[in-house]
Amino acid sequence: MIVEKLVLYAEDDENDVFFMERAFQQAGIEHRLQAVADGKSAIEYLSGTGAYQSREKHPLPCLILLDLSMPGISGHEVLKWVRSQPATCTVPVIVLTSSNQESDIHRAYILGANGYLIKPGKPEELLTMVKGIKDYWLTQNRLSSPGGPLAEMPPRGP
Amino acid sequence: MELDREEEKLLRSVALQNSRAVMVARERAERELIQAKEALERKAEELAQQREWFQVTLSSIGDAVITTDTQGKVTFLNPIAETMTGWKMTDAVGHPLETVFKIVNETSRQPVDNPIAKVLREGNIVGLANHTALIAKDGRETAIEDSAAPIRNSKGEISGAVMVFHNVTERRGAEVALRRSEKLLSDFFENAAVGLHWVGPDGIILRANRAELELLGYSEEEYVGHHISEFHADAPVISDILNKLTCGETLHSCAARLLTKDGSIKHVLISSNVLWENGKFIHTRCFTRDISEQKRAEETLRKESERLHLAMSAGRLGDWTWNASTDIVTLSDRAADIFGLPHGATITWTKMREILHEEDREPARLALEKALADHSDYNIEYRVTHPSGALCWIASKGLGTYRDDGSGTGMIGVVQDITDQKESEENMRRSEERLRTLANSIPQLAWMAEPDGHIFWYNDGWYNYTGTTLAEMEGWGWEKVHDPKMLPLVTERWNESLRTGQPFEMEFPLRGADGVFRWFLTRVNPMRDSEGRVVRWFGTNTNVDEVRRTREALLEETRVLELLNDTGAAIASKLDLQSLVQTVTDSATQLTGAKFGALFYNVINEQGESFLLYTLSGAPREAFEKFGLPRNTPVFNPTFRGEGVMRSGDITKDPRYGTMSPHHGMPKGHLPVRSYLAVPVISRSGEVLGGLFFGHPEADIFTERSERLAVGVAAQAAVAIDNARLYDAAQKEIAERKKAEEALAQRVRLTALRAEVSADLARSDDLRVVLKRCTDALVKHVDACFARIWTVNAAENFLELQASSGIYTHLDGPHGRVKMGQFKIGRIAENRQPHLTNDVQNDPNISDPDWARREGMVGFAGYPLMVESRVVGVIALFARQPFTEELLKELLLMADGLAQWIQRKQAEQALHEAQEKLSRHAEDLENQVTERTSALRETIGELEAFSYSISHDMRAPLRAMQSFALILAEDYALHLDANGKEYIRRITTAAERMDRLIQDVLTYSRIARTDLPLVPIDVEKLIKDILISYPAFQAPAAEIQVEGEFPRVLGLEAVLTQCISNLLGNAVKFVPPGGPPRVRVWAETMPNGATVRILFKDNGVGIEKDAHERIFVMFQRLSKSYEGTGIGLAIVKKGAERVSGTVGLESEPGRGSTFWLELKRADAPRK
Repeated sequence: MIVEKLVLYAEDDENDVFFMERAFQQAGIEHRLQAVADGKSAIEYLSGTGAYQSREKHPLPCLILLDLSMPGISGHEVLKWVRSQPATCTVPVIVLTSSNQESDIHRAYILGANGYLIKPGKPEELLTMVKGIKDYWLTQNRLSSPGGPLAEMPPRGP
Repeated sequence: MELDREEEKLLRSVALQNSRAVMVARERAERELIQAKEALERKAEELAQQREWFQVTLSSIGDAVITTDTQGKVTFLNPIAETMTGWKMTDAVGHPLETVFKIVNETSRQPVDNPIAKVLREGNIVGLANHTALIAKDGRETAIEDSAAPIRNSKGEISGAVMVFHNVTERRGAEVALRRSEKLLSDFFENAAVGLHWVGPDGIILRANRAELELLGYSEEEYVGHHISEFHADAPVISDILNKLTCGETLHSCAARLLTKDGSIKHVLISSNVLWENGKFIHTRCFTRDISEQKRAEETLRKESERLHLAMSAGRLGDWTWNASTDIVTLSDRAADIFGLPHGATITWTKMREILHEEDREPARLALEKALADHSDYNIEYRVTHPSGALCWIASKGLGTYRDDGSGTGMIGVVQDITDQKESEENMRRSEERLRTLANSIPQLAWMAEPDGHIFWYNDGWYNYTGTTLAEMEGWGWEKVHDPKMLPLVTERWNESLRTGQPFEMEFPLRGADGVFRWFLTRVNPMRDSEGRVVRWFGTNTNVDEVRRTREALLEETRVLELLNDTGAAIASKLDLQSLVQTVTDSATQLTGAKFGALFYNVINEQGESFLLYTLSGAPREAFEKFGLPRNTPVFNPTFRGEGVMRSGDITKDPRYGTMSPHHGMPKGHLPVRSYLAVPVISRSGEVLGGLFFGHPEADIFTERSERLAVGVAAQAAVAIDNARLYDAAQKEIAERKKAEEALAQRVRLTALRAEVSADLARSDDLRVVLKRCTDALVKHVDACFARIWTVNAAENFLELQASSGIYTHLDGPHGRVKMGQFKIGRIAENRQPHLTNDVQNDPNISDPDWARREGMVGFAGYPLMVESRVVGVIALFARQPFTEELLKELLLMADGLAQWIQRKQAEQALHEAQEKLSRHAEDLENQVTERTSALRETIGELEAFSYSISHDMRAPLRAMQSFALILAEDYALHLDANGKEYIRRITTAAERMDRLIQDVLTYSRIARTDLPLVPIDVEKLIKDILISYPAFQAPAAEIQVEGEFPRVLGLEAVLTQCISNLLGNAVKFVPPGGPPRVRVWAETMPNGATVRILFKDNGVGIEKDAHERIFVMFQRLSKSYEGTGIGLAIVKKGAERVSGTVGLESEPGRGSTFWLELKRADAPRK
């Protein structure tokens, strides 16, 4: 399973999604940005169910950006789920949220987040952040190699 | 048409051929004909020859032959047939057979079809007919058997029939004879009276006749065809029989036992031999004779004989036979022994008589002769001298044997040695002799009886006494001298003895010669022979008349003594004086034979006075009552003085009598007294206790004996009275002692009660518990039936039962709550007076007298429990015995103690209750507070969550607005003019501001929310960290100096960070234009030593005094020109409060501001 150059962005606010896309563009990130609007969709994407059954069209991401305050299944719960699945448990997850509550931060790390970023107010700040993400997470950072026993795709279907 | 020449030729040749053929054929035919003729001739010749031969044959044979043609007409008769039918062939030929051959059935005489007709009809051989008779021409009849057959020619066609028959007359006759003889034989076999059977060589029964079957009870099927051994009881016997028979022996009367059908055994004799044919065993000829009867008879005879022998042996009889003609006596061995003669000796009667005692010889001879002659029994006893010299007595019995004419041939008999018998007889006689002599010499009456009770001899004494003779007395005549009343019993007992052989003993009266009946003791004993049989009864009658009388007198005396003794015992056993004295009087009266008796006695009563009471016997009290007590008269005086016994045969004649007035004797109406006896009753101490007086209307009743008796009784009475007195005294003493003991016991109990109650009251337990202990103590120590204590419920004016012990322990009964004044209890409480009674059942105050009576209540005590003049309760108890003074005193004391205690207890209780109430109240309050606090917390929490989420949610769109505005500015910079850019700038500014506002609100709410405990904080480090974190606080943006030492303070890092940041922020914000903000931060310990101020002095614009308060309130912005949400200082204030500190400020416009944050010192405060 080749890990595609795809970043999954779970975010319910479409504005934020727009800003992120813009930042990606400005930062010159080649990785595709796949946005999902809620926790459920995130899980569907990552498990290859629902609308995301074609792994060709919807490959597993090499990085997950995760908002916490999403309707339905929360970001924390998505995080928990991601870490529980063999296919995704090693994918880096960065929580990207507006909450600076210690409890949220603590919980995120406990559940296995790799980073916790506060959404910046201004686009230029966002751009700086995204550049940082690009440099670190998408360029320097090593990922767990696919093909190992844990990198197997989860079985499709129930 | 024209024929061809060719054709013609052909025809011609054919014709020719044909004719030639014909000719040839004809020739051949002729030839053949000739040949045939010749053959025929030959055949005819042959035939003739044969025929001739046949005829000759037929003529020669012994049977008759008749042939017929197919029509049934005779064609040939041979000579025999001619003879038998009486027809000559020449005459017969051509006639129908029936004419010639007339046959009828021998028995029925009916004509029989001749067989030839059948043969001709059916063409088959017809067999010999039976029972046919031929009737010849001349009427002669011959029994014949015939058969007929068809004659067939060479072609097989019937050409006639031939019949052959022969004379069977002889044979028939023979047959008949044979059958008859067979029948007879069979009948003989079958119906013989003896059992007959045939047994085959293999032992199988071939045939058995009826007698055989009946003998054994089998049916033919069950017997014939079975093996003979099946029916023999003894296998060896039948086996032996069969063997012998097989060997050719003939058996005569072979004994055997056969098994009958019903399982019994039949004794039989079998005679049998074997039918042999050519050496072959065909079958046996067995005769079976039933000898069961015989056998039985034999058996019986044998047994009889045995018995006889036994009898003879038992009786030691020897049998003999005497032959009259030879005079020879044949003795059995035993008989010989009896005579002392050798066994088997031949001896004549005459010779035998020589050994008889000479006196007996002649009588013996004569007796025998007579018996023989008279046809009577020969029965004699004689003495015989044994060879040993001993003399034996022999009894001989015999019976004559006679010829038909009555002449005697001899005698058969038995002899027995009766020497022993004779001897014992002699002994008996001799002893009887002696007995009689003896009997006559004794004074008793005596007699002897046969074993059956028949008295045959009386001694002289009997005759002398009864004055009777033997003739009168013999047998059962003695009955005459018996008392008729006693006789039945005597007879019964006598018969009993006779029957059982037991000795007889009885006393009965016998009439003497003078007619007077006297008592005799009769004893009868049996006399037995050597075999134990009673041979005699020997009786004696002893005159016991006098003895009897003496005995009776003695008995009488004994009775009296017994009575005396009983009296003594009765007297001694009584301790109750009254009944004792009565007994004495009664006994004495009876003993003395008086009509009435009286005892007057002195008694010392409790007061120590003596007075005369009396008991009476033989007359009712009333008879004497009215006369008062005996006075001191000359008659009575001696007795009362204890001077001795007074006895008078007739007191009325006594000189001492009647001397005193007023009565001068007996008062009128007094019971008549003539015989008088008076005895003093004197105690051991000599004191005259009283006197016994006896009277009888008749004179001379009292004897010395009576006197003696009276004295005896008096003596006993004295002793008894003494004892009674002693006993009384002892009882009294015991009673006294008991009383003393009881008093002591009670004192002890009361002491114990007091101690226990005190102890109980000293304990500080629950009111009810202690009171219950008190009531328990009361019940225990005082024997109260039940005890109760009530306390007063003053408020509601009633008594509440607190404790109940004894037979009632429930507190919830009708007396559980008693109103003041209600019942006894209420009244006691109301009146404040005790109520005491030792007669509960009759007390008017008791609420339920029936209950009191039922329960047997006697004592009641109820006390009010009072402290000073106030009633605090009531104590009451019931008892089944009266209360003593001591107890009541004790109760009073107890009541007092109880009252005090109750009061104290009640006070305690009240206090306790108040305390309880208070504490409960406090608890309630606390609970309320807790509830409210938690409710509050909840609300706060909700509010916080609410504000948090709102702020959070508000920031997102704000962020979007701001970002988009910026992007717009950036991306579309070229498309925007200055205004556009300006507008966008304002949008972003406003959005930023809003964002800050929201953040500050969030901060504020967060600060208010935290509830962590305070910890020591290094403020200096904190400040320095803040300075580093924010570029706004660093050069060149600002100059902030942190000076001096900062003591550690109690706080929360987040909160303090926020506060200080805000303060610093403010400090650098409100700076006058032109220069960098300069802030100085330092710490000062307050005079109280417990708090530290951290001061922030800035060179800002300053704040007016009246705004100092307002400034810390939310949303109060003092200046529009400076950025700020207006929440900053509110946050600081809130934060300071949160860490138990305060904020304050010193400021003047134009002179800058000094904000301070006062916090608790983390170190121990120095006071």
